[in-house]
Amino acid sequence: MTRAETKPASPPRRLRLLRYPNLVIGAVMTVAVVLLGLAAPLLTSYDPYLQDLGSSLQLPSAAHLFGTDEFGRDLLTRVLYGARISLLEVTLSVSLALAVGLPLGVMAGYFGGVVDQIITWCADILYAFPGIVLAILIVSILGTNLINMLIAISVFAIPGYIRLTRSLTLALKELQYTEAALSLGASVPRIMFVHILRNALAPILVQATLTAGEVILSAAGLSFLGLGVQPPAAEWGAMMSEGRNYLGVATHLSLFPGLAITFTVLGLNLLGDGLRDRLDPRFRGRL
Amino acid sequence: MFTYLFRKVAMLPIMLLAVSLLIFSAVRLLPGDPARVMAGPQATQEAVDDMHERLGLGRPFLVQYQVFLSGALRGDLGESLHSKLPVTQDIAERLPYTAALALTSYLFAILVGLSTGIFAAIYRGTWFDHLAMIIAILGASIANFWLALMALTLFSVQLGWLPLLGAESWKSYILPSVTLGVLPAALIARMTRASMLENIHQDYVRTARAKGLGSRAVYLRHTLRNALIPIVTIVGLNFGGLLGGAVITETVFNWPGLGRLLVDAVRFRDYAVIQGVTLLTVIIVVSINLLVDVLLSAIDPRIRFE
Repeated sequence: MTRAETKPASPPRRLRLLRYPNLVIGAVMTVAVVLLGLAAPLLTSYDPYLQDLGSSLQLPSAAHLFGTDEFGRDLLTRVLYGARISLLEVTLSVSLALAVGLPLGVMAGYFGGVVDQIITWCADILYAFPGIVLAILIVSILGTNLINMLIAISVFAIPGYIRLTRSLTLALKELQYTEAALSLGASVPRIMFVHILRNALAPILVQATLTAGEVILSAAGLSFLGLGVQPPAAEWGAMMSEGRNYLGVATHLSLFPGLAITFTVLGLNLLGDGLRDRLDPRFRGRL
Repeated sequence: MFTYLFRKVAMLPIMLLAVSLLIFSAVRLLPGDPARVMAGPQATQEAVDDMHERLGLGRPFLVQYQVFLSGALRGDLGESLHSKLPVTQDIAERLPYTAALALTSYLFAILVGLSTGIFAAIYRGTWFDHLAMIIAILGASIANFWLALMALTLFSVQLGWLPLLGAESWKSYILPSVTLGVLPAALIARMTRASMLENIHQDYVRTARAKGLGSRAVYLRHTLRNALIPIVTIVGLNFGGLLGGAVITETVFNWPGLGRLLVDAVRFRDYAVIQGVTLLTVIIVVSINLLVDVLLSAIDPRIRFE
């Protein structure tokens, strides 16, 4: 018998993905949120900001599937438009955290010595703050609005990226292809940002997906406290804050934005877990 | 062992010095005149001048920091703009409530997380394992304040079983503790399961079985003990997250703790309080992390020599 015969035939590419149910379910949920957010104006005929006091606080019905809020605005419309704000929050916060965290992490890992010590030190100091508390401190100084809130959230995501990229760089810089690139005359920045970073992409992608979920939770939390996105913006956390005054009377005002947050974050967490399983076999079936 | 601990403890003051400098500089970065902002919008010119003097704003930055630091070391963190009380007094009144909430919710998280993780690992692949892990990933994805609002609606508003707001009796602790503990419980359950599974197939477990030990002894005395390191790490590292979560939970339940003090302080632009509460939170988190390091080095001697 030849070796090829003893090996079971590998399933087609499409079916192989099914071995990672988290990945598939998470990806479907995340894509659904993105599409619903982008297509919001096509999916609903209501305006998320136009008030209609005559139909305020209506319970879910055929005309308003999620009911209406205290100003008579259609809640489903606001939840759909809320997905757009969340997408914006995730894109901006994660990009900012990556833009600062990755170069610092690569430099710390590549150069070592004093550079490493200083960068690791700064990351440790930021790590000492509970994320939300650091964000509140930053927002209290910069002022409460969407952009300042996103800066605040990015700041507490940065040390995670610094640590991750640093440890990946430490391992990757010892590999032969890095040495080969160096001996072929590649410049240090090219090695750091092309050769090393490209090979570190998989774990960074996993981390970015998991951070995206945290960004949504933190942003909703800060907006709920009144320290982030301000009403009347259709932001999920701010909507829950408005609904807080009607618990038991019009609970749907808090229920639906919360379900939207849970659905989105669950999708991102499943996607992150699935990607980790897929990209790093050591984690398969562990978490 | 002592060299390791000494190094860790010696880093603590340096770290806190850096953190206090960061918080201090952040508040000095306020747009406009910090004295005017800290004295409040209704302050008279005299009060602003007084604040200017108090903060030592005319002096060089490092001298100002020194004044702040020597005050902080003596327990003087300034006066609250809102309550007109010393910040340390405000904090002292609120701290016990936050400490009690953090302890009860962490106790809940550890009990539920640890036992779920252990059973899920022992019964790997069964319906219990699948269900537990689905609930765990759901628990890690829910906004705790949303869960708090929903629980409040059901148990307090509609059923009337539990008190609505405040911290009057032991019943008041149930909803805040549970809703705040869900996220750490989920993380602990996932980590416990993973860590148990990693150890369950090790040679020493097989040896323990071979010498005739019962299942309970094998799982609890051998496997769990070796699986504890990542579990203790995640329990320790998440304490900061729990304190962060408490800020929002306290606001939902009108809980008279530090988190609400902080949120109110931001609303009133009460910077002395913001400075004080932030600093205290960091001191707590850094001390807990140190405690975890000590605990880990006691559990696993290898860590001390790394």
